[in-house]
Amino acid sequence: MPSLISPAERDYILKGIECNIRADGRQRPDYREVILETGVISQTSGSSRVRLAGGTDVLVSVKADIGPVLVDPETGEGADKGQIICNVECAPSASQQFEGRGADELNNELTQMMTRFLSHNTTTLSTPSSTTSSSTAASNNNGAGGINLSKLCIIPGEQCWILYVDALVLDYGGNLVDAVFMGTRAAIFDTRIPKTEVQDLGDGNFDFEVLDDAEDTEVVEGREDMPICVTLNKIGARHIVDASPLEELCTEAKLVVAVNRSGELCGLQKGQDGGIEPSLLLEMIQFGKTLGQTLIKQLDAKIKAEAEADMIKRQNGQPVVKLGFFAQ
Amino acid sequence: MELDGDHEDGADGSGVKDSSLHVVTPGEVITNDTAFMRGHGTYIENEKVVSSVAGVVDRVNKLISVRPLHTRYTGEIGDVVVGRITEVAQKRWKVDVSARQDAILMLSSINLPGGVQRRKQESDELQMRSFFMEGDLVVAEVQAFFGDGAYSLHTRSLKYGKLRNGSFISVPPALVQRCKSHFHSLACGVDVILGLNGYIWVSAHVPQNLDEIDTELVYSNKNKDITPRDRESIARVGNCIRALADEFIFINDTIISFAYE
Repeated sequence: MPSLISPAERDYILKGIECNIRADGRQRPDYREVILETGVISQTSGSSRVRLAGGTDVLVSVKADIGPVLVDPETGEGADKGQIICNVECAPSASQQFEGRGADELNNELTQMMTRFLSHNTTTLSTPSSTTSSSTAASNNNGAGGINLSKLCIIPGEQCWILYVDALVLDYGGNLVDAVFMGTRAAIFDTRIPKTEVQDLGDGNFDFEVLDDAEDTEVVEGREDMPICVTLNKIGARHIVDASPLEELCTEAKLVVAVNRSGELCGLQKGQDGGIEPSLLLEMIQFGKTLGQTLIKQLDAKIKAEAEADMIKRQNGQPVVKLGFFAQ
Repeated sequence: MELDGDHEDGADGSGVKDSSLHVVTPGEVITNDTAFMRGHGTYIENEKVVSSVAGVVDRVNKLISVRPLHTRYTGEIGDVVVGRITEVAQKRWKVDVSARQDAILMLSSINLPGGVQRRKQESDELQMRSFFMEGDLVVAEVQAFFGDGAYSLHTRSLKYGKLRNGSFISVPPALVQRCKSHFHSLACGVDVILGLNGYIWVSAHVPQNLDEIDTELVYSNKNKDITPRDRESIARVGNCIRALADEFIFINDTIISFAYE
């Protein structure tokens, strides 16, 4: 099973990456095929399922709930902003290494990564392992991973929309981080928040009502600026993207580059025990940025095409059939 | 899930479609006749024989059982399997063969370097890791069963042993049929070893002359130099196998060559 690899296989993969022919014939910057579907869970505000041809399967759901505003006791900020709360969980059936409590550390790491790259919290949380170092450069991305949190506020100082983003990893086939972020972007794209009507009761009291109209909903503002991640695995002296499980076992150092559609760097995380030379680091970041932008373009095109096809079906009165999360 | 008649692993191993195939799902009633004896994969409810797994009904005289589609590898003596060493224990290795239990490879069941007939010495037991380490891939044959159902493997032939020069693929065990030989040499210069447990090894062709094999090198971890063309062929064969597995088609050397073309 995935946690073990023989020296002969390791050597084969290493040499293959050096001459740009990976074990499955891909080149170093090649991604595997991505199957993406949005709107797979009807009870959520937005959902998506991402599958990489190799086994990785991630289900992401976004639920918009109303809750009290979270005010930062030190800076006093947050009274006029909504919140995004992320959670990533790997199903024990996804891989043998996730059985029992095996997935706890990975869950923690992915959740904290998501929280850092997406939500307003720009302070680095406690690093999950001694070999991981991370930084966030969210200031030039309108905070909160591009999403306009002020728009999510209903009554300043009291009530706001809280977006609960939950990702469930159903199957492991390598490259979880990229799949989770792709799915999150698609799910946020798919999210529709009900409109609210705020009434002024006078003397500083407000009341609001959630409009129950299923057709009259708002999209999440700033969703186009949400970042996605590109994971670069350093094997030998070269780096690859979208590693298969065996390639991940050969990785010396892993670099996760979060980039948005404008090419701005939104986050960086280095994992595993190996080192990356400074010149290689810059090269990898640049590579990740360009690749990330291409990926965002392709992803957006896919999501748009799907939304348009659905719209046409609805207008023609045809039922929109989703494969849903039981599809093979 | 798609269920087509190709899952029938017939006794002749040719995958011929049997028109009387009865595919059942868990909870489906197989028969109302209580004269049948129940085999694996069935249970009795309200005097009816009901299936507990998704699979094909197997009827032998008065015994009804259901053979599941997705199941762990269950082997017979003489099966060629590819396994990964998970543990080095006293005088034996534990090998993962995708079965319900790890198989066992005894120290007395392997070829020791220095000649096939060399006696096992004390020092061999102390340097077991120099033969097989955790994570190594081996191709072996099932020799016997232990009392608890674990397989006992042996590599007492020069065609078995440690695997190198290639890459590893895993497919559902049901897709690999039993044939005369599991070591295939394809026309593109690629060797394929189809383990009956669903573990497949695709490697570059190494011309093997059985008389000249250097027994000192059988446990080396060094790969030979593989040309980019060979790598491409290996990758392509690997992708063919993965595609066949995705479509749940039987895997043997003819269909791999067919898919490769």
